[in-house]
Amino acid sequence: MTQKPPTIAYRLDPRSGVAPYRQLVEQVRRALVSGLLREGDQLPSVRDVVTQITINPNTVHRAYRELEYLGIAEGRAGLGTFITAHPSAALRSSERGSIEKELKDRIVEARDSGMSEEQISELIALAYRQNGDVRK
Amino acid sequence: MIWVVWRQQRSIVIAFVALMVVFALWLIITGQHEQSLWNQFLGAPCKGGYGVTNGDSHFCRGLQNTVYASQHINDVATIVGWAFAPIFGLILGVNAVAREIEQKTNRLAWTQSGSRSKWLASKYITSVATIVVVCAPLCLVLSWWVRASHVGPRITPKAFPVAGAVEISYGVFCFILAVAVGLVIRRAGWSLAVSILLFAALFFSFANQVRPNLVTRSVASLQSSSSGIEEGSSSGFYVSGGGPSDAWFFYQGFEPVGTKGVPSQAVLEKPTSAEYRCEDKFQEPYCEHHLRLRLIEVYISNRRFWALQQGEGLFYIGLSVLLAGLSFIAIRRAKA
Amino acid sequence: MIDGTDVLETVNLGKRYRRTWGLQDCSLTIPKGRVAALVGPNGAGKSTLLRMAAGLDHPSVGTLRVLGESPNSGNGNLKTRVGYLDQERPIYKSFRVAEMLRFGENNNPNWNMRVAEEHLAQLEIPLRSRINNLSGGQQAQVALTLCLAKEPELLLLDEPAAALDPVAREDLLRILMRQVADCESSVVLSTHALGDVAAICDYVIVLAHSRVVLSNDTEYVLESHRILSAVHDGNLLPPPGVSIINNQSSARGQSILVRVELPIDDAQWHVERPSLEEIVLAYLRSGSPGARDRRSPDDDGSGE
Repeated sequence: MTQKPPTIAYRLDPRSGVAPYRQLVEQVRRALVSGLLREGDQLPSVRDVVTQITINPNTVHRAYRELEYLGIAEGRAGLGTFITAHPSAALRSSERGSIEKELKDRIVEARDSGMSEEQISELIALAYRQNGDVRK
Repeated sequence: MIWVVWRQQRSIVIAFVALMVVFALWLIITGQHEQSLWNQFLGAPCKGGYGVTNGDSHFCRGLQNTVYASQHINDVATIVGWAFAPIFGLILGVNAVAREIEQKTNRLAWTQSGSRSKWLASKYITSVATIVVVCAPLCLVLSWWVRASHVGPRITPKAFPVAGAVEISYGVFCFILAVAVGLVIRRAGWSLAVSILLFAALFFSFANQVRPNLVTRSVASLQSSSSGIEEGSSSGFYVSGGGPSDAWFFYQGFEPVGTKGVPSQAVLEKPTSAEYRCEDKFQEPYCEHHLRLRLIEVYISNRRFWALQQGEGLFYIGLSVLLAGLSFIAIRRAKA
Repeated sequence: MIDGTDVLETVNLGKRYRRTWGLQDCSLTIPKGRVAALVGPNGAGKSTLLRMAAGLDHPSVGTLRVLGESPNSGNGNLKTRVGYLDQERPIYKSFRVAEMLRFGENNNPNWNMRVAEEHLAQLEIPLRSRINNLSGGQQAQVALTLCLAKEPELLLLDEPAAALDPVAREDLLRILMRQVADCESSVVLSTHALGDVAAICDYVIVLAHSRVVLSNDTEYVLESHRILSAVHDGNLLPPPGVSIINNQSSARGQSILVRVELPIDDAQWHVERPSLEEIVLAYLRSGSPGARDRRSPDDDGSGE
């Protein structure tokens, strides 16, 4: 077994209100966007992650299942979990760039129309939750 | 499980085996020495007294002082011999249960795969076997030593506990007693103290109240005569007959000639008008003859020694079984 | 209500010690495969619950099922499948480490000596040392190894990380997580301070005053609680669809930690997501039975 340095080093912040598995998903996403992770890279195995940081293995399983659901990664039996070379994933990442730009523009619009920062944050939280409430 | 129990009691067993070996060696050495002293004292020229000639009497008196002086040490040794098995059993018992509960290691033991009953059973099996194996050789040495050192007749209370095998039953009982007490008191120190008191109370009650009544007693009459000074006698009044010298004597007194059976102490010591006249010992042969009374001794013969040992041993074993049974019931509901 | 895959299930469980109740009205269900944190102050009933689950104590009222069986039925099979670590971490101090392992081997049919030796080798605890020559953290590790090496389906650990320095605590929790990863064991561990346990637990149970006040998946708990702070001064009424868990108002302004049923649509409130520790603390302070034994939305409802 070759000892490679892990492709990504996860960090958990138990003080944030975000569920641990979502923190891992976010870290993978950010690594993809910044180029730290590329298609075909292998994500650390559950056992490796558990050895590196004190984390519940279920959390890692959950995060990797979520990444599969989002099309960002895929599990190959006996080999591990790998970043996919899936076009839709690549599309989503480039898609996100334009989504981010749009969101920024809309927020500036809302601010200029007189909405307070709290009102905008609330709207974002509301919209986010309304779509993400039903979860499997 | 046997290995674990052994490992837990290992240092106690080693300490007591070492003590036992040292004590047994001491018994063997002093016993042999005393046996030779007694042989000299009982043989010519002393024959248990001062000897015949003046020269002999000096030597024989010296010998007598030596053998009787050693009785004090013998008394201590008898007590040590008596206490060894009970203390061994008590300490093993307190260590087996009370100490585990006090240190809470029972919470470790009772959450392993075996049941609590199995845990307790392996403690019983291992420790009882240990007690028997360690105490049996000591019993053998002590029995021999009691005879060699002339501690006294083996059936009398002083020598009885150490002259046979009943010590093993004391040891086993004390172990089981300490286990049962430990289950209730749950502290090692207190369990030991309470168990010691309970055993002491039980032992002395049994020895004084029950053991004398385990077998029927025998009666023998004494003849007294005031015939002249006989060789070796230290007084002018000579009593013959009576029970054998190795018997366990209880009491003596006057009863009418021809009475059958074993009279009680109260009956024998009941004052009769005739006895008043016989208080003066020198008139005793006259009283006996004219009033048709006889002086008797009530005793238990040495031949009943093993019957008494068996009876007492069975008592303690029976109690042990009862306590052990109760402990199996108690352990299922015991607080961890 | 009885799910065959629950590792622990209690219904109105209670334990009485002479005049006080160590635990009462305890009804909870812990599904399989979780690392559950049992949180509460000292005397709240955590040890009582764990001891009963381990078969060391008998319930006074109510029922208790561990891996589907009653711990007091005298069924020796259950004890082979459950590993229990007492708060006192009892161990035979005069034994050597190797002898403790032999103890474990003698007493457990599915003992895995290789796992035990590997753990201790990794922690650099020599097998020849006497237990009472080891540090507190090392002794705790040996005690934990005794539980882990029998590869149980369920681990019941009573304050396993208490009184350990941070490094020892980290080592212990990490070894525990590795066991969960390798054997898929379920874990119920109790603690009086959530601390680093918050990072590893995916099920949380809060006990206060000998009662269960919260018992659910961590994820659901995090999703269903918010801290609302008033945007402006003044006493506001909380928006509809929320249950107040704890009022954390101060002179600086109104602040409440709530459980939410509906999304909050009130612009007068600033909404934040509390951390798990803040939620647990709020429940401990209030002692109110909030989200007691409610399932998360994606499970089949079995609410009370």
